[in-house]
Amino acid sequence: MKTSWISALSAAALLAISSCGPLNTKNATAGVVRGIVQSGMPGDSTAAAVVEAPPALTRAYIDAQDTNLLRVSIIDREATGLIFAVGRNGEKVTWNSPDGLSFVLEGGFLVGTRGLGDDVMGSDVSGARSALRSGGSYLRTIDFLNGLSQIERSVYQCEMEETRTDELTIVEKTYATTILEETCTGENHSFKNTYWRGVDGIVWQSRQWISAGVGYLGYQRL
Amino acid sequence: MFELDRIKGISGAFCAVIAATPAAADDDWRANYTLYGTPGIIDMPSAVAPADGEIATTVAVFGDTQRVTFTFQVLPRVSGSFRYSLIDTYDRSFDLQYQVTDEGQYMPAISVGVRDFIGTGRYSSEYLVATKTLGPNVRVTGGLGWGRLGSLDGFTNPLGIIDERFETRPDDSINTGGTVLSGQFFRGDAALFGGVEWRLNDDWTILAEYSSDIYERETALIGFERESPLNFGVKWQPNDSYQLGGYYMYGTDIGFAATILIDPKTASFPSGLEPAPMPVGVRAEGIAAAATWDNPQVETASVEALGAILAADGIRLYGAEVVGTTLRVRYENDRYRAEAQGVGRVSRILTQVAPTNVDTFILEPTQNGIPTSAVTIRRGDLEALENEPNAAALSYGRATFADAAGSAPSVGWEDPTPAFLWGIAPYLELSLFDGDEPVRGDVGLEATFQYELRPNVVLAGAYRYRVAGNRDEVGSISESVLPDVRRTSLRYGAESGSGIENLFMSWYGRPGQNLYSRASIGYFERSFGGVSGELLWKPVDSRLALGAEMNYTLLRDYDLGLGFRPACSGTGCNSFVGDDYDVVTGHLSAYYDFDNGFQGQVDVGRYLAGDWGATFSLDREFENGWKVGAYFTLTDVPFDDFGEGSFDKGIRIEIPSDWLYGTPTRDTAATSLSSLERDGGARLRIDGRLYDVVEGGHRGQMEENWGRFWR
Repeated sequence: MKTSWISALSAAALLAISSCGPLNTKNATAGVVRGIVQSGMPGDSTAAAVVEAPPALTRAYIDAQDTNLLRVSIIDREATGLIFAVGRNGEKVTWNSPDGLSFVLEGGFLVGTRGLGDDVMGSDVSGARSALRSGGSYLRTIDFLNGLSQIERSVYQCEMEETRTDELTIVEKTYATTILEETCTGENHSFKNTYWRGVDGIVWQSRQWISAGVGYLGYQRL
Repeated sequence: MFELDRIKGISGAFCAVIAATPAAADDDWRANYTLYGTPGIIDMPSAVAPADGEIATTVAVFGDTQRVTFTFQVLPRVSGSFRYSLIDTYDRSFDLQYQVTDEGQYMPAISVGVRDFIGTGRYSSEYLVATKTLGPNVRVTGGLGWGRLGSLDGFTNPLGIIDERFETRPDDSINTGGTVLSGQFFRGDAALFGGVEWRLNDDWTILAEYSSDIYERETALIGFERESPLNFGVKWQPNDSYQLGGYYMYGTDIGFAATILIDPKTASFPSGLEPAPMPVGVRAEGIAAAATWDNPQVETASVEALGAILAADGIRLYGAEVVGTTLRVRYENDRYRAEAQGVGRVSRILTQVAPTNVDTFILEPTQNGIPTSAVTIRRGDLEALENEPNAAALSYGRATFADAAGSAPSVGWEDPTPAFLWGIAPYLELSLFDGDEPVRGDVGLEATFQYELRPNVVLAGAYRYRVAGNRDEVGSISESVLPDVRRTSLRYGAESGSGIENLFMSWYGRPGQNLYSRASIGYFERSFGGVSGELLWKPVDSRLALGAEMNYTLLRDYDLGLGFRPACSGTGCNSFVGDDYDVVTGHLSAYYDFDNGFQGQVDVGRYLAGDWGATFSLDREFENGWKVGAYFTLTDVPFDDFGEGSFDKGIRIEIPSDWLYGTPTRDTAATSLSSLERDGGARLRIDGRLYDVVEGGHRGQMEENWGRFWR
C-alpha cells in the first residue's frame, strides 16, 4: 500500500471542506458527503423550526400586524413560532411561517400542511365540523404522501365530546371556552385532539395530530 | 487470473442510505439473511420471501471464506442476488429464488432456487425448499438440494424417474465462465437439508441447521476443516435496518455476518422538506394580478414579475404569452425531481400572476432547453381543488397532456443568472472488488464549468485533480485480440493523477412533433472523444419510444489530455503502433414502459471494438425515483475472445437524492456492479442521452408522481 496514514488523513480533511462555486450543488459526491456528515449531527435539518416568537408577545404587537396571527408549536420538535394568514380559499385559510412552513385550517381544523416532511395533503373534516357544535361520532379522512410519492388515504372513526369549560387567556385577552376532545381510531394510527371552542364557535386554542412523522400541532389564535 | 470486478460510483451513498432508512413498525417475521446473503437460516436457504423491493447487502466471513452479497426482491415472489466472494480465488456469482406458494394454514411456503447459475459455478447448486411457521416464534425449513447442496450423503437423483440423464451432473461451465449453466440444473446426486429459526424476542433469534454442503472445494484448496454438518447461530436485529449474526460453523469455525436492509418504498421524509408552495390565488377572494395583458407595458412588467417569482422557487421562465383567455408558459424546473410537482408549483404561481381574464393555463416544462410536454390546466380547477380531500386524483383527471414542439411563447424573460457557471468540489471515486486489491479509491478536487450559449446549446466540462488514493496501482492487463476500448480503463489518469474527465458541447432540439434530437462534440468520457448524434421518437402519452444514435469517436490518451492514441497490443498491452484508434458506433433503440413499474430497453448496433450485437436491459423503477435493474450485451465477439465473463453483464442502482435527504433536487446517486469490464459489447458513455432527458416530462412519469402536484 502506497497510501500512507497521513495521506488518508489529508483525504478525510479534504472531504470535510465544503465545496464552492455556483455549480457545487450539482456535485453528487459533495452531496453525499454533506448528507453523511449531516446525518451524524444532533438536531439535523428535520427540526425545521418555525420562527422564534418575540420574547414578550403583547396585544399591542398583535394589533399592529396587518394580517391575522397564530402562535403554533410542533410539539415533538419543541419548535414554537408565529404564522401569518397568507391566503384564503372559501373557508380554508393558509397560514405560513417566515421560513416556509404552511398550515391550512378549515373552521379551526387542520386540513393541510406543507414543508414538515410528512405532510397532510388534504383532509375531510365535514363530520368533525358539525360535531364541534355538540359532539357526535363520524368518519374523518386524511391524505398523506407515502414513501413512493403516492397519495395514501387514511380513514378514521372519530368521536367528539365536550369535557368541561375553561377560562382561556391568550395574550391579555380572556375567552370563555368549552373544551372538546376528539378521539380518532384508524387502521395504522390513532390520535386524540383537543379544541377550546369559544361562545361564537371559534376555536381559540387547539392541539391536533398532524402525521406519524411529525406528531402534534398546538396553536392559539392571537 | 481474476481481475477487476468493479463497483464504480458512489458507495458512500449507501452509508447515507443507512442513515436515511427509517425503522418502520412491522409485525411480520421478516426474512433472515444467510452467510450467502440470501433468505435462509445460516448457510442453507429457506422458502421465506423478503418484503417486495427490499435490498439487502450482506458481508459474511467464516474460515477463509468471505462473501459480499447484494440481494434485491425483484417482485413479491422473485429474489435476485449478486455475490462477490473469496473462496480459493475471487469469484462472482448470481442467484435466483422463486417462491412457488405462500405459507397457508397447513401448507408451508415453497420456493425453488438456483445458486451461482451463471459463470464458473463454484457455488453451483439448486434446491427445492419448504418453510412452515409453527406457533408465533418457530420457523422450520426442510429442502432437497443438488450440486453443492447435494454433496453430503447424496442419493441418486429422484428426478431420474423422469429421465435417466438427471442422475449425472455434467460440468457445464466454459473456460471463460459467464454463461448460464442450465445443462447441469437439478442434475446429479441430491441430498436433504433443513433447519430451525427460533425467535426469542423481537431482537434475538437462535438458528440451527443441518447443511448438505460438504465444502469439498474449500477443503481441497484452502485447508478448510469440516467436522460436522451442524451449524449454529444467533441473530440480532434491533430494528428494520440491519441484522448481525454470529455462528459456529461445521464444528470448526466461527463466522460473522452483517446485513444492511433498505426499503426503497419508505422514506424518512415522504413529502419532502422543501418550503410550502404559494397558495392558490382565488379570483373570487381578490388577487393582485392585472385584468388583462393587453397593454404591452403591463404584459412586460407581469412577465418580469412572474420570472422573478418562479426563479425564487428554482424554476426558470423561458417565456409567456396570453392568447385569448389562455396563458402559455415555458419553463425549466431545475429543483424538483418530479416534473408533476414543478407543474403544480408553477400553476399555483400563475393563479396569482395571470391576468384575471385568463381561465386556462398551458404549461410547457423543458429539460436541456427543449420542451417535453404541454400540460393544460383550468384555472377554475385549481381554485376549486386546492386543499380539498383527494385533490391529486381529481386534478390529474382534469389535466390534459400534449406535445410541445411549437415555438416558445412570444414574451421572453431575461434570466439574470450568468451564462458561465463554475464550481469546485471534492470527489470520491471507488472501484471495488478488484482481484488484486479489493478496494481502490481516489479522493481529490473536481472543477466543473458550464457555458450556456443558448438554453439548448451548452458547453460543459470537468477536470479532476487527485489528492490521495491508490488508483494509480494498475494491475496487469490481460492480452486480447480486441482493441483495448475498456480493458485498460484503470490506466486513465493513473499516472498523471489529474486530467480532463469530459469536455463537450451539446445541442438539443425538437425537429418535429414527437421528435427530439441531440448533437454533441468533444471529449465525452475518459476513453473516447468525437462526435455523437441522436434522434428520439416519443409521443407524450406513449409507453413506447424509439431512438437512433450514431457516433464517430477516437480513443483518448491515458493522460486525460487532449490527445488520442492507437489501441495497445502485446504482452501487458504496452506497445502502441499504427494510427489512432477510431470507430463508428451506433444503435437503434426501443424503450418500453411496462404497466407494472418495469422499464425495458433493447439496443441493437455496433459497439466500440467494432463488434455488432444487442444490449437487453430491464429496470424496476419505483415511483419515488429509485431504480434497480440488470442488463447484458451479446455481440459477435466469441466468448473466448471476450475473455473472463464471456459477455458483458451487470446490475445497476440509482438512488434519488431527494429520497436520501428530503431536500428537493433532481440529482441521483447511481452505481453499477458490472461484470468484468472488457472490450466486447462496450458502448460510448455520454451524459444526457435523450430518453433520460425527455421521460420525466411525459405522461407516464407525470401520472406516477401526480401525488406531488399539490406539494
